[in-house]
Amino acid sequence: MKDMMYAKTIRSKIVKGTIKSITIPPLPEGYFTVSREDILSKNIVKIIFEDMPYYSTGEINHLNEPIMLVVGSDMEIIKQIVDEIKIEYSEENGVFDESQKTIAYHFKKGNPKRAFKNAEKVIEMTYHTGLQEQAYIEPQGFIVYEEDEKVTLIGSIQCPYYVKNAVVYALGCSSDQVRVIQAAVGGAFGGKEEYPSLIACQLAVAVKKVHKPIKLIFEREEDILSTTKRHPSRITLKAAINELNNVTSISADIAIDGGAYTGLSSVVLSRAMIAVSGAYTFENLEVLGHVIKTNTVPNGAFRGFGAPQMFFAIEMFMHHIAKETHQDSFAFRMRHIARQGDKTSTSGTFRDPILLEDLIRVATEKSKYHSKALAYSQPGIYKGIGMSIFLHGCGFTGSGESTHIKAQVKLLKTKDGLVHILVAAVDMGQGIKTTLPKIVSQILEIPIERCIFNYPDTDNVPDSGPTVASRTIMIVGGLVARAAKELKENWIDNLEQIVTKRYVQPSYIKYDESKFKGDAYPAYSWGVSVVEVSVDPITYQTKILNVVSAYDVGKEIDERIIQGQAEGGIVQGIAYGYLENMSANKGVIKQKNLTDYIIPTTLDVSKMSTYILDNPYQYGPFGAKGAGELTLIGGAPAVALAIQMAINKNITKIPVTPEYVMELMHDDD
Amino acid sequence: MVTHHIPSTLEETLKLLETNLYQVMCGGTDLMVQSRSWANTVPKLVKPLVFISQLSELNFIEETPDYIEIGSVTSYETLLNSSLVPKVLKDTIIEIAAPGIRHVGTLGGNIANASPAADAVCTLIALDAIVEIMSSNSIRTEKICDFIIGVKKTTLKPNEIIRSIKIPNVEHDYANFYKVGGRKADAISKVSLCVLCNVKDNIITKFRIAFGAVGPKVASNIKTDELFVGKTIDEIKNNIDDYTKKYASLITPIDDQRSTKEYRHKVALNMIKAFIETL
Amino acid sequence: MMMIKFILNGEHVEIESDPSRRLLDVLRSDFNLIGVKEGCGEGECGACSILLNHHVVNSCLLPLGNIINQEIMTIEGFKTTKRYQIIEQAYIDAGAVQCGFCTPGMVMATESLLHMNPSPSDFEIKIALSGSLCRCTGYNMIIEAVKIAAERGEGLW
Repeated sequence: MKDMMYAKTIRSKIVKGTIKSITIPPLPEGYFTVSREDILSKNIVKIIFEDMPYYSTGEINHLNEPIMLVVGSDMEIIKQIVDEIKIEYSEENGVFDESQKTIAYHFKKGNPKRAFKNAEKVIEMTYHTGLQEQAYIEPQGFIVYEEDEKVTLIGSIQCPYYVKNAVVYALGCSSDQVRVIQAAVGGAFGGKEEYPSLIACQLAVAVKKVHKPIKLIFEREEDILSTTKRHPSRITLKAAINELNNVTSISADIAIDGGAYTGLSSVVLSRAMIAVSGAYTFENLEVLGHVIKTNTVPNGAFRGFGAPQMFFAIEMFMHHIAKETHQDSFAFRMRHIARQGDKTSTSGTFRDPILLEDLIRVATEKSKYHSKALAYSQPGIYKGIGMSIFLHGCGFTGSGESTHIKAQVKLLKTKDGLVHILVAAVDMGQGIKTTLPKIVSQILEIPIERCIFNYPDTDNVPDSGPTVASRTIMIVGGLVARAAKELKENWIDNLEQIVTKRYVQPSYIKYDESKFKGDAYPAYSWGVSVVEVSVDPITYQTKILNVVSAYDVGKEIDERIIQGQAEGGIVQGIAYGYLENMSANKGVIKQKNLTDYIIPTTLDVSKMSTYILDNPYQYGPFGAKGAGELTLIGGAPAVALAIQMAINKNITKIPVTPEYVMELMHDDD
Repeated sequence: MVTHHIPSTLEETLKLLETNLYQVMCGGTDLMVQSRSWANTVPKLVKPLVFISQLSELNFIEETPDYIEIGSVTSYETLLNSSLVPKVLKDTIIEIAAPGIRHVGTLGGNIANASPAADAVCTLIALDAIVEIMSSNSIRTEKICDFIIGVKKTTLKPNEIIRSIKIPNVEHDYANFYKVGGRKADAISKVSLCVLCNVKDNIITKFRIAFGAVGPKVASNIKTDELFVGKTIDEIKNNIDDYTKKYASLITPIDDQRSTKEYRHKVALNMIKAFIETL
Repeated sequence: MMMIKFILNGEHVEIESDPSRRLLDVLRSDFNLIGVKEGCGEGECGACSILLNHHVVNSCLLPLGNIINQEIMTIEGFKTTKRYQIIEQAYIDAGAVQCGFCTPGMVMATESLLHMNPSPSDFEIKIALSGSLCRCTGYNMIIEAVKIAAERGEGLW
C-alpha cells in the first residue's frame, strides 16, 4: 500500500499504579504519538463487560498495558522515538489473590441443602488450573486506512462485526463509516475473538489523526505478554454421597482469574459453572462462581471457554470419590452418566438421544482401556491410562443466539449461476471455506466450485455472528442450509436471486439468564477420550503413548476436517494438561516467548485414533452439531488421570509438569 | 564510521579484530536471537560485525593421532554426517534445537556464547576438549572448562577468534548424553548430563561427568570424578546413594522460567544413579 | 551498507543492504516473497523456513552477511518444481493444512528431508519437521502427507 505508516505500541513497565508524567522527544515531521488525548468518543473496548480502555487512562492495572502508539513511515526512526519516550510512574502494590471480585453468580438445582443434610458421607477437594496461551502461529495484526471519512481495517480476526461494532463505538461514528475485512488468519483458537477489537480501536483513532494507512503487527513476545489467555481457576467441589455410594449433590465454588479487566470473563464463568455436572447427572446442585480481578494481563476467550477448567476438576473429582468410597471408578462413573430425558445442570432437559454408552464402549475397546487399566495399576510400571467423558453445549449460552447475536445469512445467486455464501464467519483453519460450500453444493446439487465463499467484508456480508462457541456449522451452517433449500425451491435460471435467513430460536428453548434456569444450549456434542502415558521415574517426564477418542458431533460434513479438528483439539487439550506451563509472579508472566512457553512438536505427539458416531440434530445442516471446542475438552482430564494412575498419587492441578510429578512422587520422602 | 565486514580470509579477519572494535558473527543462531529488535529493522548490536561463517580455513574436521579437530565454523549438521566425530557428541547434537538450527549453528559459536545450558559444551567438557584460540600474532590453547568462566563469559579477547576444538582421541566403554528439556525437540535444557566411563576387570578406570543448566557454567569436577576411579562396580553399586551424592555440591541450579532448582538438582542426581545402575 | 550477491530461487541477485539484517526481512520486504512467514523471530516456530543450499534453515536467524554466493530457495521458487506439486497434492489429500500459516515452512522442511532421505521412516519425518510448530493439526496428518509425498514422488528426489 502506498505511503504505508507503521505503528509501535508503548506499554506500561509497571504492574499497578498511575502515570506521573510522559516525556516525548521533539518528533520529526510525519511522526506522531497517539494516545487517549486523541480519542474522539469512548476509551472503552466494547466487549461484554465494558471496563477495558484501549489507551491507558493513566491508571495502570497490568504490566504491558498499552499507553500510546508511535506512528511514522520509517521503522528505524520509530524505534528511536520509542527508546526516547520517558514515562514516570507512581507504583502501587498489585493484588493477586481472590480478594477483588468483579462478578458473582449463583445457581441451584433441586434441593442441595437437603441432599447434604442426608448424606452418608461428604467428600471435598480443590483443583487448580493454569494459564494457557493460544499460541496461534501468526501473531496479532491489522492494517488500517481511511477513504474519505470511512475507516477500513484489515486484520487477523475471528469476528469482523465485533471489530466493527467496537470501532464504531470508539469513534462515535455511524455504522457505515467503518468497514472490516478479514485477512487470512494464521490460527486463532479464541485469541482473536475479542482482543483484536482493542488494537482496531487504537488504530482507528490513529488513522483519524495521521490520515495515512498504518500497519501494526505484534512481535511474538509482545503478543504473549499483552494478549488474553485461558483463565486460571480454583475450583472447590463438595459431594454428598448416599448409602448406595452415589452422588446426590455437588456443591461447587469456582473462581476464575479475569486479570486486570473483566471483558468477557463473565461468559467464560457461566460456561464453566454450567459445566459443573460434567457429562453426568446430579439431582441437586449448588454452584457459586466468581470472576476475580488481579493485576495481570486480562484473560479471555480460548477454545473451550471455561469448560476445560471445569471438566478437569469434575473428572478428577469423580475418580477421587470412587477411590474414597472404595468402588470401581469406571462402574461408578457409568452409574452417573447423563441420559436422554435427564435434567441438565440448569434444570433444562437433554431432549436428544445421548450416545455416551456407545462412545465409551468404542473408546474403551479401541484403546484396550480395561485390560490396560488393570495391568498398569500394579506398582513399578509407571504407565497409566485415563478416560475422560465430556460434552460441549453448542452455540452461545442461553438465549444469546436469539437475544444478542440474531444471526443473519445471505445467499446471492448471480445470473450465471454462481452462489455466493455471504456470512461473517471466518475460516481460521477450521475449514468452513470447505464445509459451508459443501453444504450449499449438496443441497443445490451444483458443483462445489460454483459455491463461492470469500473472506468476509462487513460491507458485503450480513452479521451472522462471531466465529466462536462451536456455532459456525450448527447455527450459521444451519441457516445457510435453510437458505439453500429455499433458493433451490425458487431457482430461476439466468436471474440474480438473493435469499436471506435470520436465526429463530427453536420454540422449546427457554432460558432465564439471571437464574441459570432452563435450556442453556440448543444442543450438545459429546465425547470420550482415552490417553495412555508412561512416566519416567528418573526425569518425571510424561510421554504420550496413545490417544483414542470417540465423538458425537451430530453428523460430520467432511471427514478430513473433523479428523483435523479432533487431532488438533486433543493435542491442545492434552498439552494443557501436562506440557504447557505459563505462570505469573506478581503480575509478571515468566514464559514470554515460544522458547519458554512450550507447545508440542512433532516428537511430542503419539498415534491418535478418532471415531465418529452419527446422531443427527434436527436443526443442524445434515444433522451436524458443533465440533471445534469439544475435542479439546477431554484432553487435560484424560492425561491427568493417566499420570495419576502411573504414579499412584492424587493430582489436583494442571499442568502436571515434571516438577509437579516429582513433588508428588516424593511427598512421603 | 565503523561498518560490518565480511572478510574472505582468516588473516583479514584477524587483522580486523586487532582493532578491538568488532563482534564476531558465526552461524547467527544465538547472536541473532540476542540482538533481536523489531521485525524488519536492523538487529540491536553493541559493535559492528565481522562475519566468519564463510571462512573455509575454519570449516574442517580432521583426525590426528591424538585429537579429532573441528574447525569452529563447521555446522552441527556437517558434524552429524562425519564419521570422525565421536558418537557421544553426535548423540548430543541431535538433541540440539531442530534441523533448521543444526544446519547453520556451529560448535565455535556455541562455545563462545557460553550458555550454561549449552548441550554441546556439556559434552565437550566431559570429553576434556581443548579450544584453540587465535589472534593475528598468537595461537593459544585452553581446556574448554577453563575457557568458559561464567554465564556468557569466556577468556576470549576482542582480538581473538576460536580456531578449532580438539577432542582427545580416546575410546570410552560408556559415553552417554542425557538431555531433559521441556519437550522432545526444539527445547533448551532444564538439565543435561554427559557421562564417560571406562571399566576394566570390573574396576572403574575412568569416570567423567559434566552437567548442563545446573549452575553459572557447565559443571564438572575432576576430583569428584576421581573418587570413582579404582573402585569396583560392586562397591559403587552397593553404596550408590553415597556415590551419587558426591556430586550434590557441584549442582547449584536456580529457579527460572523453565524449571525449578529442586527439580534440576534431583533429576541430575537421579540420572547419575540411573547411569551407575547400567554399569 | 554492502553489496551482497546470492542466488535466489535460481536467479543471481544482488542487493545493497546492511549485512546484519535478517534474511527473513530481506525476502519479505525487498523481494516481496511473503510466503516466508514470521511467527516468533527466534528460530522456534519454523514459519520462516527456507532452503539454504537445499537444507532447511530459519531465515529469521540468518543474517544477510551469511549467504553470500549461497543458494536460497523460498516457497515461491520451489512452487515451480514437480516435487512441489507432489508435496502440495499430498498435503491436500492428507488434510495436512488448516490455517496454513506453518505450511510454507513445513513444505520447505519436507523438501529438505526428502532431498537427503527420499524414503524416511516415521521417526525421521518427525525429526525433520520438529522445528516447525503447528498449532492446528496435531501433526499426524502432516506426517501422513510427507509419507504420501515420499511414495508418490519416488525417483524425484
